Amino acid sequence: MSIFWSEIAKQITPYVPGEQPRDKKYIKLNTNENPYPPSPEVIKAIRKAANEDLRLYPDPDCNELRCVIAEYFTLSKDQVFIGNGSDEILAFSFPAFFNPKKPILFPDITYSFYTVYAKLFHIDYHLIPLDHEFSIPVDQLTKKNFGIIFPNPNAPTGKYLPIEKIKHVLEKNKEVMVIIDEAYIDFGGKSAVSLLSQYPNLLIIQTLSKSRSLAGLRLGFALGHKDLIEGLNRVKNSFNSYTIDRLALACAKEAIKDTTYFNNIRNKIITTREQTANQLIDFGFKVIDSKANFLFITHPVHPAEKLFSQLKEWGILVRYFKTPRIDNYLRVTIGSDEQMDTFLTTVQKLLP
Amino acid sequence: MKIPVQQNILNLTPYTPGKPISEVQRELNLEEVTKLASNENPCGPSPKAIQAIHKALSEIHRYPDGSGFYLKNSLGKKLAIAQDQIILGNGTNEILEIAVRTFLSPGEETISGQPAFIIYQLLTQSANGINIPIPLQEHTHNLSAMAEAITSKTKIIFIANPNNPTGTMIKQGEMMEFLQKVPSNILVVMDEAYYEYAIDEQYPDVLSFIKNNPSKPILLLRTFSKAYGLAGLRIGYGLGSPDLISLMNRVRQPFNVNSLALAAAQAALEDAGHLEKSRKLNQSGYQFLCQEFKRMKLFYVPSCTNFILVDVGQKAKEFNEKLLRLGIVVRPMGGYGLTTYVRITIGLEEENKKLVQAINTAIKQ
Ligand SMILES: Cc1ncc(COP(=O)(O)O)c(C=O)c1O
Ligand SMILES: Cc1ncc(COP(=O)(O)O)c(C=O)c1O
Repeated sequence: MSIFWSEIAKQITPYVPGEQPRDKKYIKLNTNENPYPPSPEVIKAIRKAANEDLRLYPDPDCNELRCVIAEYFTLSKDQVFIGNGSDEILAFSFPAFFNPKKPILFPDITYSFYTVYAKLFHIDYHLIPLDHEFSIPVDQLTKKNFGIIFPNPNAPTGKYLPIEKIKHVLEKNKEVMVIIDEAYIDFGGKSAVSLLSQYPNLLIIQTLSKSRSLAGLRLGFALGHKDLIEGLNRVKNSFNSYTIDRLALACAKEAIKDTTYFNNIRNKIITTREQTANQLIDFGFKVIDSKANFLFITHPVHPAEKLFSQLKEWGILVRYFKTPRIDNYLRVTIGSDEQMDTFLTTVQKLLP
Repeated sequence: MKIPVQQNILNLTPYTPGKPISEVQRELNLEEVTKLASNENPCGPSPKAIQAIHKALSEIHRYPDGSGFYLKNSLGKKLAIAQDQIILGNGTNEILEIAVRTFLSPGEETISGQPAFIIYQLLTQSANGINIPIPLQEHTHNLSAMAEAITSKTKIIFIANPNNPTGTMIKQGEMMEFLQKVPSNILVVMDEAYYEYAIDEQYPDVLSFIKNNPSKPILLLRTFSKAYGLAGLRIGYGLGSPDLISLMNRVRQPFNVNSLALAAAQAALEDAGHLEKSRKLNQSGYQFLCQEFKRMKLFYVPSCTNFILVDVGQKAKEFNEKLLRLGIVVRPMGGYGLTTYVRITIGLEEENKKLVQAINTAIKQ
């Protein structure tokens, strides 16, 4: 085939998601999913909506769901945008808010999608190196830029920036877009949603994949000033009106509304995380302080890559990134107590 | 702060999708609304697809299988094609989007029929490309004019076969000649969204052409939204050479298709009986409506799909309002430059009868 593909396509190294091998049943601690099912109300809603109406296209404006989310955060409906996973919202945000030749900032160690999208949409970027404790050096986010994006808590480190620091970043960047990807905010962090009314340049992206146990359905949402939401709508409607399926629309409302279940599940995960972290520290691991549903860990003598392969042999999948600076770390998703017990016993066996 | 939306995005007039039934009902205070506007299958999906959704629910807290292994496996067997020649999308619409993002650089040209599926134009603009519209000839793609429009800047040619909104198709001989002729540095996107309805024996076999001509970049698109009755789940697929598919996979988001859609589509694909039932119902609905249009002396374009383009002899927009008040939603085609045409999806027997009655009433108003 002749080589006529666009330069961009050739340059893109796609994001490689955590592996999903089919050879045997694994304990999956590698993709930051929630080990627990969604609220029974969610399941009920899907069962109800799985009927012949599936023949119909979904509501392209996601009106009902936007209302429910707006109410939950005490915002208005036009401050809410729904995406096919927060990945899709990120994909729309780059062309909507960033411009070629106007470099944006994000951390050197972060969700690798940002680089993928920056390249795809020809957006220049400068990487801000995390400090030696893997914190985002907030002072460096004050240098000249045309936009900022980072997750809070950060991935894959789990490290969290308290709201005062976020405020500092926003104070110093009133003229550019600041996007905060709060995929993991519900596991002990405080959302920057409360800052939206003060900063019309702030966009917050959250997902139902983690704290609300709906990774399989692909649902994320963005919150921000209505003009920002309008920007996202423009991008979306410029080529695809029907991005969200009917079942997702039907059940996501219930996931948001069932706050009792939500709090229950996230507290359970937080407790398990703290217990697991303590155990790992006892085993001699260095554990980065996490406010996410995963831990980022390294051992002084046992190489991460080796431990990764050994765990796989024992039927446990964790995430290993062969990336400079973090190539001796493992990212371990918090599973159920039972899964974490198996993980810990296995690790203990494998350590020298 | 001025939001820095890129200029090409600002220049777009977004696609206006058909209204959801509930919205029409609310606005007009109607008890019952029949939606014949978005080419959805009136039979609904296969009951097996619904069952598959129920079964897949227990894993909903897990990410979907990003490779779509099981669905691709079924598709591969059914179509005798390798898995690395299949890409799955959140609707075929998303695969179109991925194709444009992968292959079109700013300033390059795409060619498409006019009128055809409007998304081709919008996508080209949103990627800073230039769309060259080639007028249809007798409501059918004019392939020789499209071939003549090729320049050194042409990167993609979009063909919907059968075409939306006309319902017409290009036949085997003409299509093969065209595909042979298009230079191998141009991607042909063959959008077969209505493939399952096109039962004419002269309907071209582009899939075999792809298999026999691996050096020709052709992307064949099909969907579960139409004959499979799963528009609400958003899932479609593309077929092409392994090179082409692998490049597009670089641009695709890893979890673009949700897990319930994957499960339902696979089950739907395996229910040949339901598909046959849908086709039969469509056939008889088509014959009934054509008869009625003839009786009413309305010009319509013969269709090999589940919709019919009809000239109602008055402003389509106003005609549409009248039908709406009678509880029927169709698609006025003014936006496509067909000011007196509406596009009508073939419905169930009762729905078609109700439609004919409403048209009779509306025409006299
Ligand atoms: C920081 C971050 N943002 C976004 C996402 C994507 O989430 P979603 O499932 O909503 O696409 C992830 C998923 O792992 C993530 O780690
Ligand atoms: C020609 C054509 N292609 C593609 C599509 C989009 O289909 P999907 O629902 O798979 O995105 C349509 C929908 O109307 C269509 O008419």
